[in-house]
Amino acid sequence: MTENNYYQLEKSSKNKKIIYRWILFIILGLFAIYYIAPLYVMIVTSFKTMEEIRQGNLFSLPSALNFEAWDVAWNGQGFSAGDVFLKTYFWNSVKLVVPAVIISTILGAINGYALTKWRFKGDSYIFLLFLFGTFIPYQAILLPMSRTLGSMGISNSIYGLILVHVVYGLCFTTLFCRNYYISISNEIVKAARIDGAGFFKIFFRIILPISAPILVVTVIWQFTMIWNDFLFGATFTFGNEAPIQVALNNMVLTSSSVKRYNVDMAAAIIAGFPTLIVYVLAGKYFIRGLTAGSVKG
Amino acid sequence: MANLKINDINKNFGSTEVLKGINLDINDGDFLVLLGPSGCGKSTLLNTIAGLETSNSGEILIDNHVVNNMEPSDRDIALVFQSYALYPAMTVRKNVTFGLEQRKTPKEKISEALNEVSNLLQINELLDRKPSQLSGGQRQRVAMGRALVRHPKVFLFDEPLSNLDAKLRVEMRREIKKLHKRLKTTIVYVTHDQTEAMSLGTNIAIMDQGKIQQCDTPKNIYNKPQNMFVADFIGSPSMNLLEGSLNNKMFKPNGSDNVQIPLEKYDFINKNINNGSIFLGIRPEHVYFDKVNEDCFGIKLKSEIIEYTGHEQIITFNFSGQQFLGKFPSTIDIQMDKELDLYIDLKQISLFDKNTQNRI
Repeated sequence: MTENNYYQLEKSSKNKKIIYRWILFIILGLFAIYYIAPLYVMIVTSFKTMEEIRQGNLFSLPSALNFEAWDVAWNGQGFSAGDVFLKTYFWNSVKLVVPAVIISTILGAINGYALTKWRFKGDSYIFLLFLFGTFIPYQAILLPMSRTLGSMGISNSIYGLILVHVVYGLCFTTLFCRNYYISISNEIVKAARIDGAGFFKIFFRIILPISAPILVVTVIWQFTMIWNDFLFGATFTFGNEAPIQVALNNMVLTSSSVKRYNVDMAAAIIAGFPTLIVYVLAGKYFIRGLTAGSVKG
Repeated sequence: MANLKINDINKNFGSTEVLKGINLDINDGDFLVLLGPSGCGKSTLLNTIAGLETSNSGEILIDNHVVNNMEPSDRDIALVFQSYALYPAMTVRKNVTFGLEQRKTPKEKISEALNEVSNLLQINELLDRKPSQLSGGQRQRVAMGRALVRHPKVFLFDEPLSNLDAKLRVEMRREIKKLHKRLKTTIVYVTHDQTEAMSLGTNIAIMDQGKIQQCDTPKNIYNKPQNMFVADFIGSPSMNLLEGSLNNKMFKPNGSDNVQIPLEKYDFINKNINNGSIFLGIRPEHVYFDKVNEDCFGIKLKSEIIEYTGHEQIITFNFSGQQFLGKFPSTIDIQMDKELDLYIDLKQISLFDKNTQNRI
């Protein structure tokens, strides 16, 4: 081939590359719009008045930033009976999520550490049971759990709900931590044993300080699961003890005469906000932690 | 510093026997190398000495005390691991002193001991770094520092150099030798690298299939292997083992009609052995082109393959159908596919019984 031919080939492959790039970005952009559109509608609707909603287009911007719907969703309308609002229930959820996440994460980490670094007879079967536990559907444990909570005297309380979420989440946190710790060299634990450290000393001084990637994963996972849970909350609590997702449901479904879309939208955003924050702050670590151990580093 | 005695140790993992009746006697200040192919049980034996594994039967004595039921930390031993096993979240300083802290050593004593080892191993500048910021050789030094700082009775090394590159490995090998010369501690060192074993050990125990095949000085291991496994395992390329028959102190190799090698100068263990199927072992470096001494036996062999490695060349000959290697300096010119005159040094041979595979 001549010099000219090579030049032509190089040019055409360069053009091809640019075209493919553009196609890629256009497709990605379409998907992004598709996924973001509902959130956009929620946000603009929450700032509109009912008048605007009735008249206007779904995608049109509000005429002014109107916080009234947000205020109603958070604080209620001021009359006592039948007025559902989110403030109390939001704090219920916080009081539920924080201890439940911390306890289930710590217990999962200790389980994973014991299952990988202090092998004992039958440990693989115990791990298998944990693995099996992750496949148990929510509905299957409703009845036995309510009996248990009843006999313990903590039904319809935040404590009961904490216990439910810790027990249910333990399988997941154990699985995550076990898979992470199995990639950590056993020789570190042996060295520490020879240095004279025991089970918990090794865990807290040596293993826990290098567990950040997987702890972030379990925290995000547990936070999302517990915060977004509706079924356990609706089953094991009622009235003032309910978590936010139950309150959101009550608020949206029980409004009497007119559907207040702006209030519903504001309430939904409030209910979803904490998980959004967690993902934005720690999402980077989430992906890193999920893939940790899959590639030897 | 102390002696170490291992009496009849057996260890099973389920139904597989990993250690089958190991006996070792290691004197104070000895450097014993456990050498063997992978899976021979040498690391298990080391872990058993350390107390990280328990044996099914037998006794381990450190300083004449039975330590079988003691925790690893109470045995007064230190172990250097292949992966170094440094604590990733701690600085080098913390890594080295962690063991002393666990033993509630007073602060002044700790900093004194830290100073001593960091000077000895030249890790002074590294003390505030994390293990991830160190090179392989530096990590190795820190791992040794962590072991040295406690002044244990026995040092255990589990393939400590196998993660280093070739050049660094030779350097660190020499440093370990220096350390041993200086500290005169009892050391048990596991490796699968025979050069490392030969150059470091005052004694070498060759292990295979859970048994000790031979425990002796490096010289005796090399020159007087007790069985065919040891003969074949040690040396690169390994010893030529010619199959043949013994008859009246004459060796007749299989497949050749006219060659008879006289063995009257060989030092038989059992003087009465006079005939039977045997193997004659001769190392490739004891094959020459010239008659280097009185005990050389001349033979004509056909050269077939040449392997040039720079400082030497390995020639494959055909010994009436059996493969026969010779190692020569790379300076001489050797023609292939030609009958050549060779001399075998009969003072250097080893004879093995074909059935028992043991030296005769």
